[in-house]
Amino acid sequence: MEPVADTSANESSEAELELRTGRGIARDREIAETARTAIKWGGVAVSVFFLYKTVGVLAGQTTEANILIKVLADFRVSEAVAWILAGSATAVAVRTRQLGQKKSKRLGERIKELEERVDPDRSSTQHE
Amino acid sequence: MEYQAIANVIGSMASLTALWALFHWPYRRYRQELLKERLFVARAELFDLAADGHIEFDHPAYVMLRNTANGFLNGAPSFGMMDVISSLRRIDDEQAGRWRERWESAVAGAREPAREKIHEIRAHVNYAIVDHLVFCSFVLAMTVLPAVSWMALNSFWRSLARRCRLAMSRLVDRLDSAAMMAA
Repeated sequence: MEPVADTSANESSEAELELRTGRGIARDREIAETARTAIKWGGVAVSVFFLYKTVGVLAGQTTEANILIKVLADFRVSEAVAWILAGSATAVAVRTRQLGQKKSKRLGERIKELEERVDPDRSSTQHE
Repeated sequence: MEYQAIANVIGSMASLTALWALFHWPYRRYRQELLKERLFVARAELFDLAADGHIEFDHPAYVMLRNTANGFLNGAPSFGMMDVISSLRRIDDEQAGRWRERWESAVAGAREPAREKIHEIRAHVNYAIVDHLVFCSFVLAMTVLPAVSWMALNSFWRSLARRCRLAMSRLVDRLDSAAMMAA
């Protein structure tokens, strides 16, 4: 009877280990989500801070501008950043649309294929 | 600072903020949808394999691969570099080795056409995950992509140079041959 007891003890400790690992991973995911939120909104906060500094310069409060502000004051840099934004936004919009279309097409074809498997004589509509 | 320069700073900052927002919201949502779509396609391929009778629905390889794909699908909305760090921290070599053993013995128990297809589907799942990680992580995108691009470009130039050398040597051989015959 001993081997059976050993196997059951091993399975139980393995299950416990899996449970502990699963809990640890879930906790890490929560920490990651919090960190991601902090990074996202932190970036927005940094932008607002720099805008505030720029307005300070505009108001003549300080004559010493940050090096980043000096770089961004260049017209070519400003124009390049605007073009990158426009290009990236367009690319994301186009790719998102294509993905949606591809998904609709795949699901439509898949349902048709599964229906035909169940009933080969079925006459499907041609809607997508 | 001149007014034009200040206008440039404000314009640049607004564009950079919008780029930041684009990366973290619409682009990230697009990548999550793309990952889910690729995983659903892989899972459908696996289902079809079983539905066509190549493997049983309760076969260990089918169950393991389906559970793995489902695990990725559950985590897809927030999947990122932190998940990689977490799995490196939480799963030790022994656990990973046990998983590999289970996987290999499960796949070995499958019949031949299904075995190859299962490896292929797992490769699709892994490709989807790695692609998502690289393109969703700012740090990885900034380091891995230039390195891979450089390697691809380097390999392309080497191949081009080899072809040019080959074409030139053929031309020179013909010229030499013609010269020898004319002599």
